[in-house]
Amino acid sequence: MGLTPQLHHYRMPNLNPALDLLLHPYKGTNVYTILPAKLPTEEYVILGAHYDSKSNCPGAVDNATGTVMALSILAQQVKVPGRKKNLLVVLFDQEEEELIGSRAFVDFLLRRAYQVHSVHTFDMVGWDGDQNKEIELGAPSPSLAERYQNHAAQHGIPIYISAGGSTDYQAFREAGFNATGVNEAYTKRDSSPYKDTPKDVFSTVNFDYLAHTTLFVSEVIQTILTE
Amino acid sequence: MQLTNIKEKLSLFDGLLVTSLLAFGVKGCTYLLLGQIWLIIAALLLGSWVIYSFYFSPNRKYIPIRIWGILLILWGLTRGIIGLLITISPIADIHVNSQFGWQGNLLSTIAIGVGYYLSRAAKRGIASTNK
Repeated sequence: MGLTPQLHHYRMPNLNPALDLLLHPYKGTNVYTILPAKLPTEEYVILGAHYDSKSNCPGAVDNATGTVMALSILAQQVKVPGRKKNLLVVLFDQEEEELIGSRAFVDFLLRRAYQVHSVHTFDMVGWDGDQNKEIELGAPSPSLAERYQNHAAQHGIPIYISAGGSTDYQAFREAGFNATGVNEAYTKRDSSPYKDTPKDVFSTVNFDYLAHTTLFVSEVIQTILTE
Repeated sequence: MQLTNIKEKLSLFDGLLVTSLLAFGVKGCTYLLLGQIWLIIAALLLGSWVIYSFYFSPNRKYIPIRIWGILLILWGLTRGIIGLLITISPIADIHVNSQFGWQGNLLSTIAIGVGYYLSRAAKRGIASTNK
């Protein structure tokens, strides 16, 4: 795609001062790249997914699927001629360890005063047991909820809003960003039963669902980038 | 006689005392750079108290050193227990696991050893001054 990946090395304190006394700080690396808009602008749309997994877990659904989705959407948007916003795609480290990577990246964005239009994170988009193509939006902002729901209605895609769980968009929402998570129907328990286990492997991924969801979200992102 | 023993070994005692205090000072600075202030404040207060009491106070005091030694032992023991529990029942948290390999456990053991040495030396010093 002709884009340059950049490394965001970070160190973060532990979540509790008592742990700071006993342990070293968290240390990790987020990886990001920027697809610039066609016209000069300081506004960014951010796509994110975590690339780490639990110890001894291959992490196919959680979260190779989210990572692939973010990169596939990026590949689609490279071809879009009328981009009016910059697209920043970031792969987070240490999501499985209390969202440390995304928290560090939020600090990074705030320190550099990035003007962020919206943040879309993807975590577990590879399971669809009831084959209904349903998508879950995790704790979306009202504007993003409306946008995704309108788009889903046009295509007849079932979509619902949940209060959200513990994943990367939480760090952005807590910091006041316009953010949402996109994932398989996790809170409805139509979700990979192999999460955080050694059985979360390639063969368990529902690639039809992954492709379908990726195309849908890519269209949403394209409308944001071009408006 | 106890005080003489301590004076003969003063270089090792001084080295271990200052190094152990400095180590926590460095830890405090590390976390200060990450926006956490309490550890450096605790290290400075405790370190200042220990150093002043032993080296600069008109009447040399050993109790702060004994307290520091006991705190080191507790620190090492706590880490040692965590390391043992992780060995018996591994957890999925990579951040914690990575700090309790052989190097982490060696650090815990060294802390216990240094704490024991300082505590015992201070106890002998207290005993000698009470004669």
